[in-house]
Amino acid sequence: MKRKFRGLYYGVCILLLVSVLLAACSSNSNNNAGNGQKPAESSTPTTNSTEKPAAKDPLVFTGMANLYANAPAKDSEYWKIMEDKFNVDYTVNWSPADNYQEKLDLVLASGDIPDVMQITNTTAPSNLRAAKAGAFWDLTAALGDFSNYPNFKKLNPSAWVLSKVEGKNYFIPRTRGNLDSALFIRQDWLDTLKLKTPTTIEKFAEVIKVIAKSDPDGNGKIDTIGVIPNPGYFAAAFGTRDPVRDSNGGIIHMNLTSNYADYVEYMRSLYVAGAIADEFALFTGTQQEEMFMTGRSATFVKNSWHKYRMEQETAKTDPNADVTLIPHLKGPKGYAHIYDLGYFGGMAISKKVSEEKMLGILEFFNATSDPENYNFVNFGIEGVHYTIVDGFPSLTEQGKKEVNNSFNAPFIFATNEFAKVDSPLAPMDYNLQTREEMKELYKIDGKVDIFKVLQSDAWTKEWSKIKDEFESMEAKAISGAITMEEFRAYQQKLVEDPDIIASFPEFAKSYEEFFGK
Amino acid sequence: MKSKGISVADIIIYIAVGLISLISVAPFIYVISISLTDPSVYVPYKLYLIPEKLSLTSYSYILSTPSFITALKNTIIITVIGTALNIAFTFTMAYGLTKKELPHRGLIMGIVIFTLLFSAGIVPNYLLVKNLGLMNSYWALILPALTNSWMLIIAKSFIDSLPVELEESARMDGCNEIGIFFRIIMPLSKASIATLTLFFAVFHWNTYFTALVYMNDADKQTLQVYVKSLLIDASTSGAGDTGLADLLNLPSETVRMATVVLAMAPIMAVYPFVQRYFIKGVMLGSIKG
Amino acid sequence: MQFPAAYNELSKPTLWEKWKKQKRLYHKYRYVYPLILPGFIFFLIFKIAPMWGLIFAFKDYNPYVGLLKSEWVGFQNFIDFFSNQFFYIMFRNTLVISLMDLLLYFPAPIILALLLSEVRSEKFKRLSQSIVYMPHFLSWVVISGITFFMLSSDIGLVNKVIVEGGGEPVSFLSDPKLFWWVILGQNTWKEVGWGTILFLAAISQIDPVQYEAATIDGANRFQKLLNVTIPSILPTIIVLFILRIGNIMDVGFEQVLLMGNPFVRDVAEVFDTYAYRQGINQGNFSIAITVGIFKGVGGLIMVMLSNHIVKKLGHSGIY
Repeated sequence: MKRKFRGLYYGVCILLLVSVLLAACSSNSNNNAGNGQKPAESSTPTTNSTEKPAAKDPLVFTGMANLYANAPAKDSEYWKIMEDKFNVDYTVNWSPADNYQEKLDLVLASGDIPDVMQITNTTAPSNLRAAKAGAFWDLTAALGDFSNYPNFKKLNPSAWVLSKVEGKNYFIPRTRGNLDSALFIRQDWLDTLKLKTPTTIEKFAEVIKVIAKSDPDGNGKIDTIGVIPNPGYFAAAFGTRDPVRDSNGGIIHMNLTSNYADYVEYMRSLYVAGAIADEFALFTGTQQEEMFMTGRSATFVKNSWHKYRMEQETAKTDPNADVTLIPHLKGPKGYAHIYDLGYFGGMAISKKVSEEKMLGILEFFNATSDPENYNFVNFGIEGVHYTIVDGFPSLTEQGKKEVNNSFNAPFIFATNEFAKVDSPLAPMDYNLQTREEMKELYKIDGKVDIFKVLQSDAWTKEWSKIKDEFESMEAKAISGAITMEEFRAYQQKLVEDPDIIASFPEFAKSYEEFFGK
Repeated sequence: MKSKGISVADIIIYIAVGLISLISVAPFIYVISISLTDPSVYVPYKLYLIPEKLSLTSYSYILSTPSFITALKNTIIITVIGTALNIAFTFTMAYGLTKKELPHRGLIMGIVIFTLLFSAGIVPNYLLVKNLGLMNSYWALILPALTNSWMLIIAKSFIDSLPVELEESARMDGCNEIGIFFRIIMPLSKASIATLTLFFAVFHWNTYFTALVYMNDADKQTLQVYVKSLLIDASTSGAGDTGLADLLNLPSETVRMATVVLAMAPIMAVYPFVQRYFIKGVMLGSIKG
Repeated sequence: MQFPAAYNELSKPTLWEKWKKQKRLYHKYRYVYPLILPGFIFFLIFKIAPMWGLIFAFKDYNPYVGLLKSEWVGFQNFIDFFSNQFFYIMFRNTLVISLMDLLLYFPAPIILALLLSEVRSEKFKRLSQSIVYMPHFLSWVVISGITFFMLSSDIGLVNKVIVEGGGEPVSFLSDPKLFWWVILGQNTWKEVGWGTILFLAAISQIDPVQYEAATIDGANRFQKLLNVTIPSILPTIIVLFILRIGNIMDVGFEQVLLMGNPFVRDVAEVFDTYAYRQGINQGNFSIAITVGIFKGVGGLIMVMLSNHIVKKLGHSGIY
């Protein structure tokens, strides 16, 4: 590098580095102002807090939870307030949410288990295996009838039932309401093409075929995607939420049933009519969302709280954009819909802790699940991270930077019926409106996807081997690379596979444990 | 040198290199463009070559996020210390292994080749780090990576290509191997040192999985872990649809692209510093006389 | 004690004499061992010591009873692995992607390095050198997103251009026949510039005297390339080649994982993605180790083979 240019280059680099550091320093001082003074001492408060009459030592325990970019530090104002409020000394090992299960597997395998662990997927095989092998406390007895834990009692009841393993509660569920996702559709396109909002699967097919063949966004091209196959939502219309039994009373996994094949055939008909994107199976969730946002796709399935954001985003390309939610569509054997389990993972307590500590931890979580503490646990400190606007928490600037799902990750909190319906960005009356739309789901017999709950070791083992092949066959059946007969024959082949047959009685037993006969 | 004017070969070379450069840089222009676009007008799947509405909001947002700065700081420290140690451990051992008659050389090379091809997997390494008390510290990322077989073999190959006469003349001057190493080998290996410095630095800079496994504090995150958490895709985050995918405040694409740029920029800036070591030869006149 | 030299020639070396020779060598290289020591200790602690983990492949690891008490299954994991109905597919895909990389990608950075070294204008050379290495720094997550934006048959730029020109959209990303080429293309784009660094470093070490001598001999530019440059960087090429061959069963895991989709599953399934899914789904570390050993053994055979052949051809290998 020539001498003078090198000097210039060094200078620019140093300048950039200094400005970055300056930005850091100034932001840090801003945060200090917001956070209050960071105490010089470390974090074990053994002094008696003046609020409690009887001085009780704080419960000391460690945990592990999901990290999303930021997390409250042990010496942050928020954390100190929390520890003070609940009289605990809670140290969390933060582990990135992406790849969290791998780290959890590693931690479980190494035997160095923290006292409390956030379990992101209570049905993940390694977590089930850990529970059955006795790595976690069986909480069923301690919980009893919840008379000692009034806040636990108020949690979504389906959560306590569905998070059991072999009839026992190993996990304290992280709950939410059952209302979650719906089908989003471009209402303005329906209006332009003079179509009525569909209420049945058949009408939906008609509508979507018309949209795909027209030019609703007026860009002069017939390039609109109608729908992207989503078995989570659509397959239920064909009866996949009801258990299908074999001749011995065992339950066949829904993917192998003719109900599911009916769903696939439905999608095939849509594909033939040009209503489905050519390469639908390779769209990631984000890409599907972006298709909808940029006006290339008429529908997609997402949590209902995104509706507000979707309207903002679609308006960028088309100011007339209007989004409607379709919580359910009637089908031949049921409704296409998504009825959430009511919980998303839970907390497990390591068997290595003493019974006394285990009970202390239960009390702690019971306290955090007090509905009064919901905002604190989810959104941070009132006035600092959020303010109440129209009775609804709204994030401040600092809140937007610091608060994310890491905040509630180490806790249990009260069930918010509309956790997945309210948008933190939208005004309250907008959210109330969305709530009404989603409550339509209560009017039908909403059913959870039982295969998110039922447990079968044989199935887990086999499915991990054939999952990719199955998805590949399904995609080919929809796109026409194979015929529906071949797909059904493939399903039949699996149904007759002895390794898979082993799962049927296991599913039946599991079903009985959860739902009774 | 020769100034015969431009030949056909030259033209072809210019065109080829030019095309390759263009293809290499095009996606960057796209990424940088998006990062400089105002979020209120950004729309996915448009070909942005120039920002539609120039705005630094995405950058200022990230730079004012304490987590980003901390992650950057962590990565810089690990990279600088780690790379320095890497060079030390790698070149010393590589030089030693160039001595073909060294007793037990076969055994040592055997170990090197074996570790090149076989690895014990994550669990034993995790336990080792844990038992050494390195968890949650920078050393957990530096010590287990002090050197590796691949770099060793490359360094050894470079040292082998240095002329033997150099050592012999130094030996005659009464130097032992340690002296030779510091006074002859290292100064003459600038090209390979620069190259391996670059490789090691980039390796440390891009650490993701080991950082994920060994760090337990949010403020010990490395840059790539932080960046990845911003780029999480709703459906590929391994845990399916357990609600994990719902980030309360998913940053917009402009912010994510700005993060990507900021995460790459510092390490890319290192390149021009080392580039000069492998542009011109360094060998003039060292053997003569 | 010194034995007369003639004495040694008369008899075959006894044990005592071998030991003497050894001692002499130890003495001769006594300053070399301190140089090797730090690295060697590192290898022992961090690479060799954890090798006990290889036992995972021979046990059905149950973390709750610990490694010692876990059930010994001998080679069962390997048998399961080989008899897996998809073994052949994984093997074929891995091999194809790897061989395409070796035969088609491997020469690219060499050629680019030579091209770069032949550029006359210093400024252009520095500029392009500083640009072509950039793609290496983009993560696969970002690259796959950009690839989608370019090659998707629904919204991709490339297909838009094709359609405007009156053609039919090409299913770059969902056509199994094109998958391997997309992988190769992506990898080449990402790594070719970065890959030139080693070769440029090697070229920079060539003594200019050799070029002068060639000029005196009347060599033209191309002949100099052929007779001076390439032979001088041949050792580097060989070393890198052998190293690459040792990794013959490694394909870019993250890349293949991200680019894989149900349409191309038959050509995208490789050992690493299989081990990853098994591991994730079941927390089953044994499978990952089993696959690792399999890959390692294969790599070892290839390394030994290629090193031997290279030495037979008169060049130095990697050991």
